Amino acid sequence: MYPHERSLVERLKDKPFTILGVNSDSSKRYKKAIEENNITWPSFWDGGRTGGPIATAWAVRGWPTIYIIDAKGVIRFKNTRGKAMDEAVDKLLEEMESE
Amino acid sequence: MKAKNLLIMLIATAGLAVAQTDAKNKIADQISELIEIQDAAAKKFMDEVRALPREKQREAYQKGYPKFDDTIEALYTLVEESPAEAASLKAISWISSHSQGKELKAEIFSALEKHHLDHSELSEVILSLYGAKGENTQAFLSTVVEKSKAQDARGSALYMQAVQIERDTAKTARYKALVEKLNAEHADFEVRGRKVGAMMKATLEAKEKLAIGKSAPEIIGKDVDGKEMKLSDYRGKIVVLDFWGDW
Repeated sequence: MYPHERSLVERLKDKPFTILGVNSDSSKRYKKAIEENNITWPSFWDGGRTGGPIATAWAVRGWPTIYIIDAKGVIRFKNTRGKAMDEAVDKLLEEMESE
Repeated sequence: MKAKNLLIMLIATAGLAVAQTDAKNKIADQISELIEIQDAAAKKFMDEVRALPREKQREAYQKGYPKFDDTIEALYTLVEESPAEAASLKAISWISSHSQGKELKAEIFSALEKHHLDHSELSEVILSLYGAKGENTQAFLSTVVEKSKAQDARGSALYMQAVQIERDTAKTARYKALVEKLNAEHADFEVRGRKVGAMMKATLEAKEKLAIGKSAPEIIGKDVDGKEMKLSDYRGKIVVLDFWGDW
């Protein structure tokens, strides 16, 4: 997961794009994970447990769960991973550029 | 009848009753013993694995998790010998929760329907059917919902019918109907102290709000250093919202 996300962030560093995490680890473990995996994008910290307020509001029952949201704030894709995630993001970028 | 004969008869009857009670207790004891031994073995194994460094734990699980097959077979034999005993319910729950989604034998469902349909502890068995989604399980759950006189058993069966299809997007309509029914008829039904009907309904409503094409609900939260962040801070950018954990 991390290497793929890192390369996506790197490739799109000049584009209107971000990964925004919602992390359910303890604060200690979360800080360690960021350091060890060179995670450069921001994350909400959801209180150190899987039943945290953000995960609950978003009805998340399994991890990782991914939503792709367009520039207008509309949910466009759910649980799109790997290559499909890249393609989904590229499609939304194209849409923005053609508007 | 002479007093002496009566006495002999009484003793004989009492003896038979004692023998029956003994047999009953014996089966209940055998079931408890089998389960205790296996649970203790599983606990010992888990304690040992937890003591290992984290990177070795997965491998240890795959290699050495206690095998349940023999205990499952032994419990099946006991249940088949005395299907009507209440202790069978405990054995069946254990079998089911250690069968990794494999469906219970067909004759077990017949025994449950025949002897335990109205038993309040049937609920325990039903809640152990989480991973088993075969036809016999489905038919059994329907029978309980339709015919059981035990309120909790009916509630559990409805709940289990819903849980089994919760993630099946082709069955959303049926899932919704089951959750509605659960809330309408079993509003107070609890699993481990939680009113699951209300929880499932809240999740359903949240999912509808979170469907593709809907506006993403605002998130106001904090980063790990306590600095406030909002999802709407990123409006104008494409956002991959990633619920993650390093486990």
